[in-house]
Amino acid sequence: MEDELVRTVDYGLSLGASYVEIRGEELMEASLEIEDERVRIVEQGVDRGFSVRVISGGAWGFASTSSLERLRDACRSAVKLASAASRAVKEKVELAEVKTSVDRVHVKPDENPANVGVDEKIEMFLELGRAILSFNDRIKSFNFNYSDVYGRKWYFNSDGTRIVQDVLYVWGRAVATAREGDVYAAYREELGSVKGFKVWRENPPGELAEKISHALLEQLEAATPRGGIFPVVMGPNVTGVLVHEAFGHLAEADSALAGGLLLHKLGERVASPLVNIFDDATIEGGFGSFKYDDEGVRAQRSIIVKEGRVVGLMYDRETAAKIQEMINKHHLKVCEGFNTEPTGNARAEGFRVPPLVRMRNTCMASGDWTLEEMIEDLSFGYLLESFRGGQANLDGTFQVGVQKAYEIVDGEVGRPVRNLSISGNTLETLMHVDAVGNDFKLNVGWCGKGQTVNVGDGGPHIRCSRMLVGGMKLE
Amino acid sequence: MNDGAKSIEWVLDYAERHGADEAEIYYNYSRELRVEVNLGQVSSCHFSDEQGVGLRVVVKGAVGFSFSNSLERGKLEEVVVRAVKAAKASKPDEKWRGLPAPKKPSTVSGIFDKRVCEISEEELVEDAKTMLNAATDYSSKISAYWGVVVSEWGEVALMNTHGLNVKAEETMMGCALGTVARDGDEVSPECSEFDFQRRRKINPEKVGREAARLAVESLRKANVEQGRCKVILFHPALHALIGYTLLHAVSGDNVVRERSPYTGKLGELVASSMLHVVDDGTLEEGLNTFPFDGEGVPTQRKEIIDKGVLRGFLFDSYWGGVAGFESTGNAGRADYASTPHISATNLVVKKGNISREELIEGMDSGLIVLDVQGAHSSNPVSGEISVVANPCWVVKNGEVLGAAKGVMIADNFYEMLKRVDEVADDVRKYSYLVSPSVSFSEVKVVTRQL
Repeated sequence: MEDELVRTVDYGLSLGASYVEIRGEELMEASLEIEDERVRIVEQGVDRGFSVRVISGGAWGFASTSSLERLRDACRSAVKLASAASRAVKEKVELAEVKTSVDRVHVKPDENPANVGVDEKIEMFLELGRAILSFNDRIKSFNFNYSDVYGRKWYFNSDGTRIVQDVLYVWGRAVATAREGDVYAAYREELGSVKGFKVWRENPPGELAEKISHALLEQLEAATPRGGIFPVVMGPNVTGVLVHEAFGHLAEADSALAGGLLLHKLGERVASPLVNIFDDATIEGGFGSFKYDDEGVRAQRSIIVKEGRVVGLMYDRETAAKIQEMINKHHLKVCEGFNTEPTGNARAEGFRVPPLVRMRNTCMASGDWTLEEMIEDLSFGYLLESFRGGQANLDGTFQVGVQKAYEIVDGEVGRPVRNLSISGNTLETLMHVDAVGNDFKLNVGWCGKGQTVNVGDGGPHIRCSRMLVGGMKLE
Repeated sequence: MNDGAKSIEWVLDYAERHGADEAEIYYNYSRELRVEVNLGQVSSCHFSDEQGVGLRVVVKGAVGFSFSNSLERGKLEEVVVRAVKAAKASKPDEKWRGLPAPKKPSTVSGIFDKRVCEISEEELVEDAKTMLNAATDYSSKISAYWGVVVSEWGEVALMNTHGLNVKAEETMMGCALGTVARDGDEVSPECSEFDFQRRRKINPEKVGREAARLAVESLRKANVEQGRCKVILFHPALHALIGYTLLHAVSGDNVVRERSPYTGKLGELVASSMLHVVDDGTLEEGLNTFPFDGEGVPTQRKEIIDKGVLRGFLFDSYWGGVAGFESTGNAGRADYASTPHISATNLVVKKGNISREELIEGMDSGLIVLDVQGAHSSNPVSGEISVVANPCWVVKNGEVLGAAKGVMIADNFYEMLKRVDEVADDVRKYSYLVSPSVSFSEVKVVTRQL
């Protein structure tokens, strides 16, 4: 098969393309869904296919197919599509130079999910549900989604890069709800690993059930938050989503180039000097870790914010070339040492779609404060420990919903608060970070940008002196 | 029609011989041609066509599923073996009432247009150029961060061991453009406009111009005070909020499992008498209109909320059976590799009889909200929402003063439905929602006072 991929790359060049790349995938997928104590469905499938992406006439053409036999047709089609697009292109697509790689990357699972029987998985997650539902009669429902993927990806391009890379992930999410009178609570817990099934051995159903149940019951008894501007302390789970949603998306080079907030601030101070942000695909066990991205670029640790200053963005090969060109033509000013090299951030959801600039493990680096020190001088504020969801806009406006929060009163953690959310302008918020903790934790997540990919995010506890809290109670 | 579906009927017999009590095979062919706007220019063109099957088998009420994008005999035999193995590893379910019996599919119109299948990549590229140029010609402050023009052709065939055997095809064509406007250091929020149709009748020029107009209009600043005020939600904001709250509340599985505030409330007043909502899988030219659902059950039109009174829920065959109702034809299915789930078809909010402009002119003081951020962090059970309204324009005495930043709507969406005071006639359709702009009174608004 690999010979056929090489031949097709050459075929694409013979048709007049200036660049050809082929991606292939063969993945074994297993998933299951549980609703309360019922197994809704158990699923097992194999997904296989290829895609060809070319540059011809300075434009992109892309075609995918499920069969190797039709790969040449797809290649011909991609070249034809590129010529159609080339009629509209104003500035020809260029790619930044990268070192070519020839490599085979094998993952040695800590426990291969394909070797764990479906019946064993079912029993484990049914037990989790039973433990939660029987924990307290105010707990009303349990939903669980599990999936694992094990297989291989191929990446071959006309620069000479040839990579065969194993793919593995294991993931599950529990959502439970509780009700007491008119108060409804919902709590979500998510676990995942790119190393294997061991993550579920390390977090047995009994322990997980206890954690989820306590959080739910706490919400039932929680106060509603006051709306307005307050100081907040965010735990690693919320710091992670803030860094990912509020800042990370703005630092994706395609968003910046599209006229986002950071474009004319490259090299400038955008955050408090305490703030350091990086995106790293090499963190051992990070849910967004991998060796090569979907353009065959060796993935690395990229520093984005250093002591409050933007020192780089996340790039694919096209955006890296574009930024470099804008700097060369003096359309953009950046600081000394500003990174414009491709960072290995090109990722595709699967063979059916071309890669986009995406995050991997996006984190804020730790500082030297303890949690106690952050809280002790606050007369009133909120401690935000776990998020429900978040979303950001190119103008820098972000929103993060919080599912586990507490009041901070007179320097101490007080009563729980439910259904709180925070919002603000990213850069103003990061300027108001006045304490960064000495702890660090990485979370598991998914990021949607038209395509969905697995990511990690994280950081320490941090404190922000001013944050808009959207509460139901108006001050 | 593609002939792939004809060659797979044997799989059902094969599944029964391998231990399935019941089996259902879903075949799906899809073809998509798309042109994208990236980094401010039309620079890429994509094509994909794929066929595949998804097999559901039932063993003692336990459901197993597998799929394949190869229709070779050997691969399909493996699909059967995997699905049966999955079902056998699962737990028997006494409530399982069987896969649906055959019924005649609904008669629907306007969901297939041969001209959409025939469109060439050159024509799509022209449409994309028209759309992008309309935006950049509108103002030099505009940059387009994303855009697409797409044509799609799909075919579905579905068979089960009770003799159900249905098939149909559909087309869709659409365009969308997202823009931001920049003036010095000031960046507008993302503003997107769209036009999705079953037939070849999209208007890329209008989409481009409108996306640009919205972004430029969001540059002018205005202030808003914290408190309660009247709020008009445009289609994108309604789409996000309804999707994470009301859809959850009327989904039959949530109703039966008491995860919905509407459990036990059929016939009760749950919304303003201004509000009429139906789910109509047979709507002419509806983007989710189809003769049958993801289990082969005929689609239908059903009242959900009539003059504020709760009239019905959405069911697939399983939860319809558990609740003592029939399926309402609401088993949605994304493609061959996914299993059916309860979902809305075309959720139609009945239009009122005033225009959007009249609605705004009649407003003493309030906000117009194009879209919201953070709808997915809403509490679907309680209805509590805490979202950023962005873009959001301030209206005083019927006049739009400018856009406000950092406005949060912190309210309860189920309570807000009781405060609907006006419904315009500017109906838009995108994904599941067919709705005009809707006005709500007394909405709780929190602002950033800096």
